[in-house]
Amino acid sequence: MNLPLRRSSGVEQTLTMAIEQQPAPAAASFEALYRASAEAVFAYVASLLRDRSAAEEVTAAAFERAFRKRRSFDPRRGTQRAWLFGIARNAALDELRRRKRAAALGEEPPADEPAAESEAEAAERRATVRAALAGLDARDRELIALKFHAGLGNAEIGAVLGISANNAGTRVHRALTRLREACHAPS
Amino acid sequence: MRRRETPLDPAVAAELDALEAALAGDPSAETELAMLVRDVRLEAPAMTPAFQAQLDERVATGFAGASKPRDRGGRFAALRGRPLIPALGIAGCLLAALVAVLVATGGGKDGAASRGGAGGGSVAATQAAPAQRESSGSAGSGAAPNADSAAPSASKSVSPAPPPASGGRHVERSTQLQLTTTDVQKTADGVVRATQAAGGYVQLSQVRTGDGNGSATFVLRVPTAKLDEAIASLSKLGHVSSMQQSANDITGQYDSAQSRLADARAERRGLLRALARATTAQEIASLKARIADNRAQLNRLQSEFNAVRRRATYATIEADIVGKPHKQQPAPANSWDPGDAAHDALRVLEVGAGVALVGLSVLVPLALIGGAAAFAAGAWRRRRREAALDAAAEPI
Repeated sequence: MNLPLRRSSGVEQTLTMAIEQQPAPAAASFEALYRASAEAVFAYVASLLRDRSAAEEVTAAAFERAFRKRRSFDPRRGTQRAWLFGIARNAALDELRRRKRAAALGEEPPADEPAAESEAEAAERRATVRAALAGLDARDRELIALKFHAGLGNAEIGAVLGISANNAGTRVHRALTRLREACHAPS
Repeated sequence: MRRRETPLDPAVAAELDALEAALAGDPSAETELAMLVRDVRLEAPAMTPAFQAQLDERVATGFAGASKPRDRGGRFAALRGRPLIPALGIAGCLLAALVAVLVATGGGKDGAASRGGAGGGSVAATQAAPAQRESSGSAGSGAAPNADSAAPSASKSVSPAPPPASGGRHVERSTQLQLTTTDVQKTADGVVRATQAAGGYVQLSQVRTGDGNGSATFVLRVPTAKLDEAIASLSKLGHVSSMQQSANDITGQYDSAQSRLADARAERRGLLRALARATTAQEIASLKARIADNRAQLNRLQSEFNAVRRRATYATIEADIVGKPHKQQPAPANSWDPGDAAHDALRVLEVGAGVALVGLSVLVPLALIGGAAAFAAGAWRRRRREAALDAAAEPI
């Protein structure tokens, strides 16, 4: 079918964009996932490893691995965040396996000096929580990190750990109970 | 298969709901829990600005400068979960293709060579005389074309073939047939068999087989009533290059011979009666001499009558068989025609199916073992990871 050639009319301006400038849907989706999860992934990995430097390496490796495997993500098997934390968990456990030990968390940024009496009370409470967290075992720390830092639901935690949602909820409840007990325990 | 979920304890569920409310910043959340959430979140390890900037850059560039990770992603990522299936498929295809190529390259030459040798042999010239002796023994068989007592001597009429004798007429029928064939010996054997099947006999035969250009000559006698059937059978033995049929009415000869024989018999009976009435020795001697002459005459007339009768009841077929060389010369060893191609294709399919069967018998157990090993390796890896977590679970 031969259509007659026609000149465009009424066009005042043209919007152009180089093809390579257009973000690919998968890449854009991954970048959004990274923006939303980077801090939480680092906090989770650091809670597991208790080593800031190793946590940085593992976090970077986890995101790189997720980037490489982003096409294998299957929405039917869970949320994208659960998938990402699963990758981070495997990377962190591999790191733990290599080290065969749990290193002490590196130098934490020193807590700000309390400027006022009320803030001193808050700082004391935070120190108590920090000590309680340090006293938890790794599995409880992991659950606290997934729940408090990453904000995952029970079903997502179950997907990360390979257990059911109810089982994940039960474990989270136990970890929370231990954390509260540790916070109230006399130092 | 989905595992059966055990329901949460109501108290646990209530506390979890309270936790969710605190995590969500709900003002109605439990105060102590809300403070705990806030304090724990404040204790969350944070990325340093330098590391965050570095990671941002790497993500922005798609980890371009990074070394290849241990897990190769990309287009084969989806296949890694089922590594054995594509591996088995590729291996099977490669194996089948290899065998097919080997068979195709070797099979064509073999096929052509085998067919080329089939027609190259020479047959030594032999003389055969597949003759059947006439029941009376009068006709001989031999290599030399001797005199033919039953050869058609009367005037011959060219085809169309005359109708068979009917209404008391006696017809002598004869046919001259020339067959062209590539296998003289085989055709000659067929001529003998066809003649015997028609109830006839071979009166004369001469067969000469040679290297593609033999010949044979037969004089056959078949019952006149079976002549058409015999000709039909003979025509199937080769290409009929010429055929002549003739019919000669010998009713007069037949009747004449029969009449003379009857006369001689009547004379004999009269002589015998006269002999019975003779009284003198001279008369008896004279009659005996005449009876002796009559006996000789009777024998001769009987033979003549038999000959005429045989000419009417047995038709003569003169069959000439001419050998011709094979039109299809032996194929050169390197020729490859569509027949060879079809043969090779069939052979390739046969071998391919066999190889696939053998390959499957090997690959399927390997796949099962590999699958079990992969499953065990995955379970072992998970256990090692969990063990690493357990080792790190000691509180410090």
